[in-house]
Amino acid sequence: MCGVPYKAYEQYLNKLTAAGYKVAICEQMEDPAKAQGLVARDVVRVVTPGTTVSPQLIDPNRNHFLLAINVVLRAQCLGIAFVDLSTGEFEVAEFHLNETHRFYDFLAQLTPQEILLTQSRSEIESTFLEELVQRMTQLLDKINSADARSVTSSEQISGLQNAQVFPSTGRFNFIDPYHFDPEATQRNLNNHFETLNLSGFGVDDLPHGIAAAGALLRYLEETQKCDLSHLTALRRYAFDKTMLLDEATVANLELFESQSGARKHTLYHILNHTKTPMGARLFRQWLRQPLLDVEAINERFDCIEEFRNNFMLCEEFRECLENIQDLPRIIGRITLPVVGVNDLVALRESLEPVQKLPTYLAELQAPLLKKIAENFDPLTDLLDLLYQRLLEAPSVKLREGGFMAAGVSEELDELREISRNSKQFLNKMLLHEREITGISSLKISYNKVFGYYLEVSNVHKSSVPEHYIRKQTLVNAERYITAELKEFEEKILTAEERIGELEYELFQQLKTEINSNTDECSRLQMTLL
Amino acid sequence: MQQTANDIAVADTLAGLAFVAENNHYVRPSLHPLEAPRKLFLKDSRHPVIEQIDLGEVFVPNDLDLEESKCRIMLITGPNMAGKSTYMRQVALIVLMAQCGSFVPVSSSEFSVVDRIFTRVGASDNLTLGQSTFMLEMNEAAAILNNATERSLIILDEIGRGTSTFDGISIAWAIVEYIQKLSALTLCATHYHELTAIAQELDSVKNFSIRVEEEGEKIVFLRKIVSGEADKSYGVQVARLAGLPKSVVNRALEVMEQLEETSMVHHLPVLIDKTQQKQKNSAEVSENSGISWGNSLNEDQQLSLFPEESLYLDELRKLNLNDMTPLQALNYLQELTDKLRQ
Repeated sequence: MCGVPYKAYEQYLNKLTAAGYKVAICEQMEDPAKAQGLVARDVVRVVTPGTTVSPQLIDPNRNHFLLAINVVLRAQCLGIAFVDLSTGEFEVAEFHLNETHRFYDFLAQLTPQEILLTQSRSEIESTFLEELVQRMTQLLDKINSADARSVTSSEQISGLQNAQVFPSTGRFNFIDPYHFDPEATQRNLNNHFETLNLSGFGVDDLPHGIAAAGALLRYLEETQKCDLSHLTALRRYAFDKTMLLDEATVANLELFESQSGARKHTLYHILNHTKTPMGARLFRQWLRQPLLDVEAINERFDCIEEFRNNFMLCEEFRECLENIQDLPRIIGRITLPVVGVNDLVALRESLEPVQKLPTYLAELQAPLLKKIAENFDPLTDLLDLLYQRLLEAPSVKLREGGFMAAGVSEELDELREISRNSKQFLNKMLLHEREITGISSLKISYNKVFGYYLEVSNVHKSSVPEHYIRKQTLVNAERYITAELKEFEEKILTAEERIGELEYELFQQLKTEINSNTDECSRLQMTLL
Repeated sequence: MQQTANDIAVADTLAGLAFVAENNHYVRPSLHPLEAPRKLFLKDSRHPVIEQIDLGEVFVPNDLDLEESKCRIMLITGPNMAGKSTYMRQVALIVLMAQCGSFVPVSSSEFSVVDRIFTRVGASDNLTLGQSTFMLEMNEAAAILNNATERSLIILDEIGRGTSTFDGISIAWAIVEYIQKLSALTLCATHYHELTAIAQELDSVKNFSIRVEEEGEKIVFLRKIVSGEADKSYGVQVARLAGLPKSVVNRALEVMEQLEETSMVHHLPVLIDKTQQKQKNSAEVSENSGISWGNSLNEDQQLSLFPEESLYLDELRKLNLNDMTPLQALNYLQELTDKLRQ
């Protein structure tokens, strides 16, 4: 257990997570100024290698997966589920034990950062698990060492540090077998997706995979302790529609890493000309999972042909994409407690070029692109909302305010007015008071003991109105306060503080609004599917 | 929102592929479904990665024509460094690229979709795990043979390299036969010229080689795949290119010459009825040669080429080693080498 400065906690957190530790973040649950006795504290989030969403730890060009494996020996089956918390991808699959080579090929392809397994209940199970873990460790270590090699060489070139390679400590997590209980997991998943059953996801025939998905969800709920609404659907991992490439072939053909470790001379490097991080991740998936269906391949060919025949359009389109940041991960962060103002700013900046995309897409006829064009939602409402709520050039300090736009909240506008114009405001009040009392020598001053006060010289003592409250008597003057003055003082003094609080509240509101928007979108999407 | 992000990712990826297709002059392949008769035809194919790296050498495009009913296994011989591995990898990469939805570096192509691509290429040593190169090689080969279907594309580079010559040839031979029965489209490179004889036994196996031209003792790699097996391995010349000390290279040429003279049988397109017979023969020849090449080596000897040797081919063809004692064989060899040296 240790305490670190709140402002710099992310740095410490990243270091610990990168070292393979699980980090529980504990916060005060009430304002220490207002609390009676001990301040209540609680764990607000547990960060593990597979659940980190810190941009410093996850490679923008790759998925960051958490995998759960449900070993069901009596069914001779491995039920698996995996999730990328940063993008919301959530998929299930099953492997029969007589096709474990497929499982290992799949594992090499997925390269998860963390793996959940069940604690063994019998001797046979524990022998099996031991062997499984050993083989997985071997395979993943091999891939990671290749990664590490290419990281060091690419670092030398670019000076950038990406693609953290997590050490094998903390890679495996053994959880209680009841977490994989078929009924409880089904219930849990149905609760999460707000569905009656999981038939809509087309995964009915994968009961062991579903159990793994349920265990995964529960693990996320227990560690993240927050809204996981960006996990909108459970998908079936389509390994029967794609070609599985074994690790030897991926290495031999130098798809992602060359034998020398350099990334430059690889097929991925030569072919990847995507402009966005989500594009790069998708392309990596395409390259890792070639298709088997000629129709589907030709669909892609048709698009490429059309883009190539309209190369000017293609270039403009790609230029437009250049300014779009990592949308899935921004959206992912919005549902998590880690979201900051900068995420919403990035979202706004990214949605701006998105508005132009439909014009380009409308000109394309290839079926796959046409389908995209027809259903494309440029999220204009969301962009408008962000413009309406956030300042043009907002400050990004979440607790200190300075990012919400004017007109969002009357109280906020008033507070800002107060803090900005406090002098003018006092002058206005002084003139007003002089007028109603007729005391021309009336002054408003400030000291630390009484705060703001009105000072009346003894000459005019008799003209003081009744609502003035006497606070201090001097040799030649009396000092008073009024309810209005005190109220104003309160406002001035607490305005800054209150602005911070209020903007934080408004930010949370905005976040909820955006999230409910996501919910609607994804539900709509579900019905379309 | 996720859907929008997803749509953008798809459009981005496709536009990126269009960009690379335009820039690198790729062509749309014509694909046949998985169920169609297996075919793999590439015209002027290039290696997508190597053609982008400037090596001070123009990349030489190559063709490929495999078909279920005609030629399913392409057996490629040729010297090291001539580009066998490059060629085979480029074929695998092109098929992979196409099935990912990318256009490919060819002038035209037509092929059927494959269910898996298997490669066993070079020695990616895994010493950290304590496995020997040969063990690893055999592991990979086993994985291929156990999992490949007739719809797979198999790339085998120098299979059986990690062990002794005769073990290696035997294993390679057996693997090729197995794959032939499996009926998968296969590219197989080897520096065992003995293996080329398998093409005469199996209809679906065809010999190819990479053209190399000799200029005196030097060699020029033409990087062109041609039909027919390679004449010899040029290993020593390659060693020279690699910067081996000159004295070592010269000595190697001498030794090689001795070996070639004594075991010429290897390099002749002899029709062999049974593999067993063949192996027995070659084993004995090499035993004999082991005795002979310690004898006499002339410092200033020139590299002898084929014309002289061919005079003795018929004589050698008629020779039946099984009827000879080791002494007789040795004497015969002595006689032969004396004649050749004249």
